[in-house]
Amino acid sequence: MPPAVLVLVTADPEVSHRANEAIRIALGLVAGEHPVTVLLMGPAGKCLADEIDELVDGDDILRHRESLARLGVTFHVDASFQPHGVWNSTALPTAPVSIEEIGELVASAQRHLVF
Amino acid sequence: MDLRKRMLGILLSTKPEHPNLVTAVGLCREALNRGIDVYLYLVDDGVYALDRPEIQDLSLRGAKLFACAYGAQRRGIPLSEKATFCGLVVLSDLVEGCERFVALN
Repeated sequence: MPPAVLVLVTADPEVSHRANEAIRIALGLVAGEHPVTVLLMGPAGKCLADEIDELVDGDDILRHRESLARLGVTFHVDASFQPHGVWNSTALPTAPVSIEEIGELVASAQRHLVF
Repeated sequence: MDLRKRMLGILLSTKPEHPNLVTAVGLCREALNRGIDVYLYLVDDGVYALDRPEIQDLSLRGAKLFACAYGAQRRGIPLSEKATFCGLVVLSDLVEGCERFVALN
């Protein structure tokens, strides 16, 4: 069984390309048949915003998040995240997570990539 | 503890100016000194470190050096013999195959 991977994204996609890079890598690992958990913390929740023009590499973020959803990945989102504007109108699978649940996600993974 | 032939994977995604480079090089050197098989994967801004002499020195000492082809292309870094340019499939293999995997982001 491949090790479970947690991809934890804290980068703000409105100011940094690293949010997209994190999601791209998550997609690559899912394609490699790893169990992957994607966790969007803080401003990284904006990765699911409808207005992709506001995001660095927004077109890529759009493609990657849709691909991840098609492959069965749920986006775990910091429960304290407050979206501004239209958010996830296509209903990609999401799960709000508390700080305690974030701790559990971290503890349960064997590999951790934090962006 | 005999660590020979154990496998260590390191992912580096930050620019050479970031302290992560020092950490990555230090880990690799120590691991190589102890006979560990080292796999260093440069991704995102980490591909800028490809030309650094301390990175190339790791390769000369036996570390397997990989660079993300997509990241290099986006940054205008030409393909070369300095590393094995590849995609995320290799990263996936390293994540699975290495006994320890450290991501420096």
